[in-house]
Amino acid sequence: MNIINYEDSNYPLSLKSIKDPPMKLYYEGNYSLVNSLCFSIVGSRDLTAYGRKIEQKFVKDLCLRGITIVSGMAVGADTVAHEETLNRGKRTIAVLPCGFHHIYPEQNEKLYHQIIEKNGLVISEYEPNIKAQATYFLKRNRIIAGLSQGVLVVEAKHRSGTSVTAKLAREQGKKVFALPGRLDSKNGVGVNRLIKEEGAIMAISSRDIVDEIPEFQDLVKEIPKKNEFVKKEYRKIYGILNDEPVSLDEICFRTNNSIQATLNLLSMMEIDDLIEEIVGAGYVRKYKE
Amino acid sequence: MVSIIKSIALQGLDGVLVKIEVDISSGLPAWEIIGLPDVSVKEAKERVRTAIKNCGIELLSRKYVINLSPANIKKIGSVFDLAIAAGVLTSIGIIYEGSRLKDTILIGELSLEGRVEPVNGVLPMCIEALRFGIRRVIVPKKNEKEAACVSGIEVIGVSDLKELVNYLNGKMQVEPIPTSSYGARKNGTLYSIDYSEVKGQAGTKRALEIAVARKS
Amino acid sequence: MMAKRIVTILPDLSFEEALEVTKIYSIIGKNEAQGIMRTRPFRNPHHTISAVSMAGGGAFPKPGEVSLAHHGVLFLDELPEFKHSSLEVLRGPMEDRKVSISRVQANLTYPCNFMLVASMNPCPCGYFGDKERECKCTPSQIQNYKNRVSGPLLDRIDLHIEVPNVKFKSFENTKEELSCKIKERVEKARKIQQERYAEYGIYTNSELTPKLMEEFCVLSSSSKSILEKYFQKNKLSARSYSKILKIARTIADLEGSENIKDKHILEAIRYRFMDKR
Repeated sequence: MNIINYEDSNYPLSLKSIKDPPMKLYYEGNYSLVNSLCFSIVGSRDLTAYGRKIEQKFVKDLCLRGITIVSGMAVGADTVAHEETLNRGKRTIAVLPCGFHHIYPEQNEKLYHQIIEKNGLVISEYEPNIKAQATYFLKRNRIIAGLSQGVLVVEAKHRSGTSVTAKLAREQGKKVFALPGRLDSKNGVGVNRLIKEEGAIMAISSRDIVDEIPEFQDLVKEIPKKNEFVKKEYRKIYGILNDEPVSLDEICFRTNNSIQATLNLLSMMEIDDLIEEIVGAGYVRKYKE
Repeated sequence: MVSIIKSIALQGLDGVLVKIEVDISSGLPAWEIIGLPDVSVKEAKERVRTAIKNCGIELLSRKYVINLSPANIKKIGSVFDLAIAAGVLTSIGIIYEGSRLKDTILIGELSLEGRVEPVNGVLPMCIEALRFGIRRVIVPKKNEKEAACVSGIEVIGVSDLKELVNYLNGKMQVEPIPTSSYGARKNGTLYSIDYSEVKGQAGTKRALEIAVARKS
Repeated sequence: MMAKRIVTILPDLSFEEALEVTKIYSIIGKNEAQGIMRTRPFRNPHHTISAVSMAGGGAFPKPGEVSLAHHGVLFLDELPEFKHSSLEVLRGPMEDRKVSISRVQANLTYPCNFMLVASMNPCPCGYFGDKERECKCTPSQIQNYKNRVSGPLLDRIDLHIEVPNVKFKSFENTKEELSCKIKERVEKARKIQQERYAEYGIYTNSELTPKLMEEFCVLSSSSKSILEKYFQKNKLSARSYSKILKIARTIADLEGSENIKDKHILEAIRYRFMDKR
């Protein structure tokens, strides 16, 4: 773990300009990311499956443009943001509400290590032995917003912490985006209010975000490499798979292979890190670095 | 005179040979069933007494003591009705020819009219009886097919108390039920359902095939 | 749908087995045909079942569902909905293949050698992964739902299968294999096992001890490296290892192969997806 002081020359410029900047930053991982183009994605802990699906799409589109995805490593929307970025082999920053010796939430300890392993960055303004506290969650949100060019709110309940993040971002002069929420879901209330009453920009596709932020406009979206490293015998199955899970039955039928042969290939492809099994749904492609 | 009739009690799937001893003595008229009977067995005295009466047999007002031995296991249910009735009838001399009671057990419930009603557990009882060296079982007519699944034992199905008395006294011949055979079954339709009715789901079918191939 | 039909691919009951099944049904007065029952029983108790009805017992001790499924299939639909106590009583009987009921006057034992088949949804609403209907469950709801089934019970389940939510339409006109054809293969595989283990006092792969596995589940170096890679990637336990090995052994037997090959291992690991975390 390393420390950066406010006075240090490599203290992130983006944080110097915010109100109440942290005096000290503790970090682990790839520090140079603080100077990259960042965008935050935050949202509800109780993310719905719908929210998850849409968030993944936005994260994918943004990170493939080389934008660093910033979030808070909480469960739900934050976890999806980090995981999806890492799955695409792209960079992410997690800002903790706690010291490094008390990673919060505990179940994301694995994710924490993954972020560092995969060239991401984890930062915190708190000393290593400080435990997470309710007020810290809101406080660290100013860093999340501070680091980024803009914030996207995925799903939020009425009066949630996510809305506070949006407010902080606006105070810092950052653009706030929100996905339109479902009218029949509690998680839709917060985001819809942001759009209707607080001037958040409704994001229907990642284009809406890119168009609003000048720094993002010249970035070219990288097309995920297809088939490049895929062995010949895998290609038939790989070609059928995409981001939406495809069931075993369908794979079998479309490749016209026997069930045994299909299962064999799927295992080999999983071991080779090409695909992933979503339990209860089917198989999806996995993206490599 | 004490008469002894055999029946069988089940403990799980294991059988215990039960001896039903009936004694009639002078004294205050009463029916007493002893030998750890459950409530359902105690009720047998009413069924048996009424059934005998309704067959036109007069019972004298005496003291009837019925003992189910061994006395250390609990006897449950109505399966002993037939044996108790046979014991009483032997004691008072209505059943006078005892030869058909040798190596024989009686199983069955009695209705008030004297009909022999079917009971549960006839098959395990017959299998266990064979183990105790029993050669013949007298069972309710409606249970005779099940009893006949056991080979090596003679199955006599009776439908009422009169038939039992006549059979035991040698006045009536009842043909033993031939043992049903469990030969090779004809090809095809053991089940009315089939895998081929389920379309697709090749993965599930394959996994189930593996599952059943590895367990007995 | 599928669970009900498992009995149709199980080998026919032997006379002794049929007699055991009939005895149990005779006791509860459910041997309506009065003859010997030739069909293997299929039991699917509702999830509101009590522990006593599951294992057997009561004031007049009666065999429970586990014994009524003797030599057949016990199907628990919507496993997480069952009462904790009703599932916990399964553990002993599954291990011992018999169930003991203690009463003041006596100790009764009923046999219960059944195949357990259980189903559960990936989430409480049942629409997870469904392409047509939206799942509205939150991650915490899904986790709670899965946690309702205890680890020790899950450990006793040998194969995991994913059943697609929506039927894949294109299959409607295909011709499907008859049960008797599958049964033939099953019987053949069982015969191979029986002959192989004749001197060891067991009948099937499911009974293999760790020591016997060393002898009968030998892997080639390439199979070993496949398993190693897979285990490192998914951080699996030693228990999953032996389960996968036994499944691979069975797949090899179905094919009539003496040795376990790479392809058998590769297929076997697909049936343990619940081990992944």
